[in-house]
Amino acid sequence: MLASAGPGHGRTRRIVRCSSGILRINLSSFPLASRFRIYAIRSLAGNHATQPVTARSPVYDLIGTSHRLRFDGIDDCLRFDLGFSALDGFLLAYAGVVGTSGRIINRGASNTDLWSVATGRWVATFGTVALDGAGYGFPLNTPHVGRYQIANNTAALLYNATEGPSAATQAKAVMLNGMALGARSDGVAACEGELSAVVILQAGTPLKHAEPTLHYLAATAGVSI
Amino acid sequence: MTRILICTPDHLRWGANALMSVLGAGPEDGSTFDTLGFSHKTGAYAVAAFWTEDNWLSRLTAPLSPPDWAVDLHAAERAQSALKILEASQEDISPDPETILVILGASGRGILERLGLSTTDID
Repeated sequence: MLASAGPGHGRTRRIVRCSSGILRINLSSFPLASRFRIYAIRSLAGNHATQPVTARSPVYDLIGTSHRLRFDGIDDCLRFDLGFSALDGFLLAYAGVVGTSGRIINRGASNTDLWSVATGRWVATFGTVALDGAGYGFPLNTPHVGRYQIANNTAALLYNATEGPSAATQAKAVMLNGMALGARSDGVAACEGELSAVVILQAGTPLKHAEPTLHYLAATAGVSI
Repeated sequence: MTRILICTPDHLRWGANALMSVLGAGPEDGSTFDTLGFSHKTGAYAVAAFWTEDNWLSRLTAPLSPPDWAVDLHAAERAQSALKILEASQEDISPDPETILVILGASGRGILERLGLSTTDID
């Protein structure tokens, strides 16, 4: 049932919400490649990505046939179950829009790598990069597709999150920050932005298998890659 | 619909969480200010930002009724007495270690800069 009261209720009315106010976003099975664990936010009927605190829920918009979650860059975030250990690493790809303020965290050293499918193996370096300049090649307020490799050696960083009772849960909480959307519970805020699709692949997935995913996301976001 | 930002100092977080639980959609909203994630020259603060309806704003300062779940109602009432509600258009808005600051019309991360609040970045 829809929540009947509480902060954010009106703006999140179309999100499936149970009586306790838990936001439920489905990361449904992605049919593109059955060999890998691939999920995408494609419908709102499931219960994989959640945010039990109403004030932290991103705002859901349906524009035409496009589902979008808008994160405020202050406290909005989602948590979801990877289905495998985050310590094994994973490739995270997304389609969305990054806002004009805030910061990207856990992003790659080369900005063009974020959306180029011709780069080859993409390895993330972790750092905090200001998003307020035009020199990074990141298309502000422009729908784009990015992919994000989180490797084994990032586990220590992921452990720094404080949300959730276990290290594994903590890692999951950080993951959305990896794509620059959402906010970490330890106060490390990402930037404002919108998210229309997420695809997660296990570490070691050959890029040639990841490319169809990126093309799917590009179609979702309406951009050329 | 009004976009609001609530900023509470550490020692008022328990009551602020209780207030959010009383006014919220479920007991989980009692965790709204669990993280003391923002720093200011006057101390550390927990911040929540969200859209809400006028009805919720009215309830924010009205006599509280206990919800269907367990909550420290007295703490919530003490939090109400510590509320300081301002419009975002006002000048010289700043976190106060003795109040729970509620800013109406706060939109985007720019309000954080106006308040002098910063988050911790990881290099």
